[in-house]
Amino acid sequence: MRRRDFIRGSAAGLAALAAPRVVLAQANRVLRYKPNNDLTVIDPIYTSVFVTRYHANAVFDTLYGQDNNLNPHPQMVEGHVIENDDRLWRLKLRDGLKFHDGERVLARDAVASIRRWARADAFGQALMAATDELDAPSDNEIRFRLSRPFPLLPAALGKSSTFVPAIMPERLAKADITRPLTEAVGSGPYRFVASERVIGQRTVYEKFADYVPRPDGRSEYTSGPKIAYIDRVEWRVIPDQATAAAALRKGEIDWFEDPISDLLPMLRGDPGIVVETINKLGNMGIVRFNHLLAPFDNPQIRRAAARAVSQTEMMQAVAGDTWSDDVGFFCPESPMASTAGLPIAAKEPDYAAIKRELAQAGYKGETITLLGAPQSPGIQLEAEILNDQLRRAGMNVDFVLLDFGNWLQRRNNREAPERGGWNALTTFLPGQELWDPAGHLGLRGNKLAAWSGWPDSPKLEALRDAWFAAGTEDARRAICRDMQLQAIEDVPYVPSGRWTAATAYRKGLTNVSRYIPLFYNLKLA
Amino acid sequence: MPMPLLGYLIRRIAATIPVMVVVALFVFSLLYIAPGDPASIIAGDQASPAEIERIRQSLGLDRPFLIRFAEWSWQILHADLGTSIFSGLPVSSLIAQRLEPTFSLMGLTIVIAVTVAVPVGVVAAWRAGTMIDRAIMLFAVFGFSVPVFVVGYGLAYLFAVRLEWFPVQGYSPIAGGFREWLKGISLPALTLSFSYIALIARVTRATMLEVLNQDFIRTARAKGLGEGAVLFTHALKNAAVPIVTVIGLGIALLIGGAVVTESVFSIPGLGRLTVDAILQRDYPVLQAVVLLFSFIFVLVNLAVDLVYILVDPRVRL
Repeated sequence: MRRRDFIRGSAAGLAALAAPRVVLAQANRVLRYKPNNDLTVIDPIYTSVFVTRYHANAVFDTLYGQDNNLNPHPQMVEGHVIENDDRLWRLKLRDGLKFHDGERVLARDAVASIRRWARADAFGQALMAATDELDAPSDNEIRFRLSRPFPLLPAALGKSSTFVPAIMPERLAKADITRPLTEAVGSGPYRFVASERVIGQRTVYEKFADYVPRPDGRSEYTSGPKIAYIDRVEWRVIPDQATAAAALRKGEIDWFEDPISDLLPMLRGDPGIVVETINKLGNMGIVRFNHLLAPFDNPQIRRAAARAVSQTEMMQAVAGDTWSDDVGFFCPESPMASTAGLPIAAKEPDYAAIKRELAQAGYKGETITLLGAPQSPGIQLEAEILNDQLRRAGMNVDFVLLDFGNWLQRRNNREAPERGGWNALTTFLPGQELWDPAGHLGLRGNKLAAWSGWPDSPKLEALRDAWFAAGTEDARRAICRDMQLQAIEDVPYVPSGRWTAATAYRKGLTNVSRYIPLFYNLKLA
Repeated sequence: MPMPLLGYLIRRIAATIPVMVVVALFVFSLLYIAPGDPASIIAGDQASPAEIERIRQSLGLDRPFLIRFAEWSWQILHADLGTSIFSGLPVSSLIAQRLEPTFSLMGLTIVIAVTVAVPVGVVAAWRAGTMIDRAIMLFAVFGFSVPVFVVGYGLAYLFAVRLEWFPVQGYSPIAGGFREWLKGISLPALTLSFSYIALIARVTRATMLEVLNQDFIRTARAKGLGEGAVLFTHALKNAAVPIVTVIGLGIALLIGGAVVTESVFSIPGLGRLTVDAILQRDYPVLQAVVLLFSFIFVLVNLAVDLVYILVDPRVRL
């Protein structure tokens, strides 16, 4: 080949590469979505990670759904009948429901699914504790025989937070719960396409042609008619935030779930992109003390230390401008939230007074091992502020930085700090999880069975039991008010504020869901 | 194939077995003593102690080291790399999915680097001390000094975002069309080749400078050979052994660089699989990938030794 021919050929090749891609007319609408993480576990009952919950809400349907105020409504069930002094619930399945493998959805599938879910979920465990018998007398009837009234049964079976009570075929629901399911067969509006899944690159869902949307009600959050307007949803795993932002701007993806705040001004400046906060419930900050070890085994010391935790300082560091302080133990939008006993700490605490209070409570300068996790900005920034606040209160803090895997492991270690344990840490939970006591991990007081920190508070547990049994909304609100006052007394944790995060998507995407990414009812121009 | 060469090959391949055994034991022990609990990571931040314990038991993480090592070794001996703790999928399929992107990236990087770096290094030596030489060496220092991710962001901004010649991220399999494959892999390969070009160009220049001062080069010029023939036929051939060595050793650098490049350009390759496995403590995946990398490295060294024979007849087995 002559040199001139080679150069001419190379130039032609480069021009071909650079030419705009010919867009073929496609009947199919494809959404390309960048989740906050890769989907590694497809079993909705095996893990509490967020992306598995998004996956569950796409692939699986639930017996009840939630409206925008998180109230339950019949979804897979046509309705229910309550008999025998509220101790017998008969739920009737809608006609025409099918699983993605083509099989009919039967009541016995639902029964097996509920049993599987209830082994992992706290709300489910509370429901099953009140259930004498759960069976399927016919193909379309699910029957609960209760030992005591459980008015929150629809709320339990319709929850959209972790763990989702996903209905799956009996053969999967009865599989060993200690192993994650490797098959995702639901009856939801989208079908999981296992053959196209590449871990670390993409997860694919296709519209389920045989899905029968609910014929009545309004489409709100996970309730009402679920219409799949988009034919195919591709989750694109893009680990680098800057790359994801560039891909969104260039139109290689349509929805970037979790841009960091540093990228938001650039994305807002792009006329083709919408930046908004869909999850107004946000994340609730948590300062957790280890109740098993000194000095935080002493409630007086916990109460004094809690007064050092200025939510204002915390949120200014964590969230920039989209935060709120003076929050209590429940998500502020929840009907269960109240201002009882608030604020726990002043915006600018009197650290000298707290130091005296700690001394009176018996604090003798013991080392406080505080865990930080730089890989998780939310946890780390809170931990840095807490480190400063506790030091200003006169506490002797050993601030230990760990990678997230180690942080999780150490958090679950009940031993003394010199044997891998800890005294204090910071974390956060989605506001939706702190909506009411049902799934509220932080408010449990069941000691070694509780979330890391292991508070022992029989009074909190008794109030929680009473909340499940309460017959009216007013009664439940009153109990939650008492729970908050009791929590301020026992300090299972210290609320450290609430912040929200924005999501970014290309113009043309409409009907974007509230709270968490949902793909049904979403429209793509 | 001549008998001595065949015998040499068999001996070298057999010698990889003890190396692999030591690597396997080392990796397994390291992961065992390293802190971190896959059960806690799988369960997620909102898991209760009971859920974490349920997962830990289901994974067999509560069993003694020797039993776990024996089981894993037995699996490996039966060509079974195990199952990912997280996805529940066979490790062999996870690796198989990642081979093509990584080999594409590394292969194209080597092609670009060798094609650019060797002639550039030769020219720098030929024009030693001139502006051309200084410019080339300035580029080489730049290539060494600038981190891979900075080069990646810079190229992506220029060629993908501004000029829109290439996609910002993603990988198109070669089965989906050569053009799309090349378009997708070009920027990552250019990014990764930067430091590799710098390394090879510097070594080529240094080796060529040494060779160009030798008597046989003066003789070649004296007998009237053109500069091209002197440089590329006589000098480069005699300078080839160190250059081939550095190309081989550089593959280890590429593996490290591929981790960053794959993350910046969102390529689902072995590098990202490794990082994800480390962060998640997905032991079966990590053990298998490290074994694979060590095997590749041993093979590359073997290939380099064989190339010595081709480029330098003085090398005997």
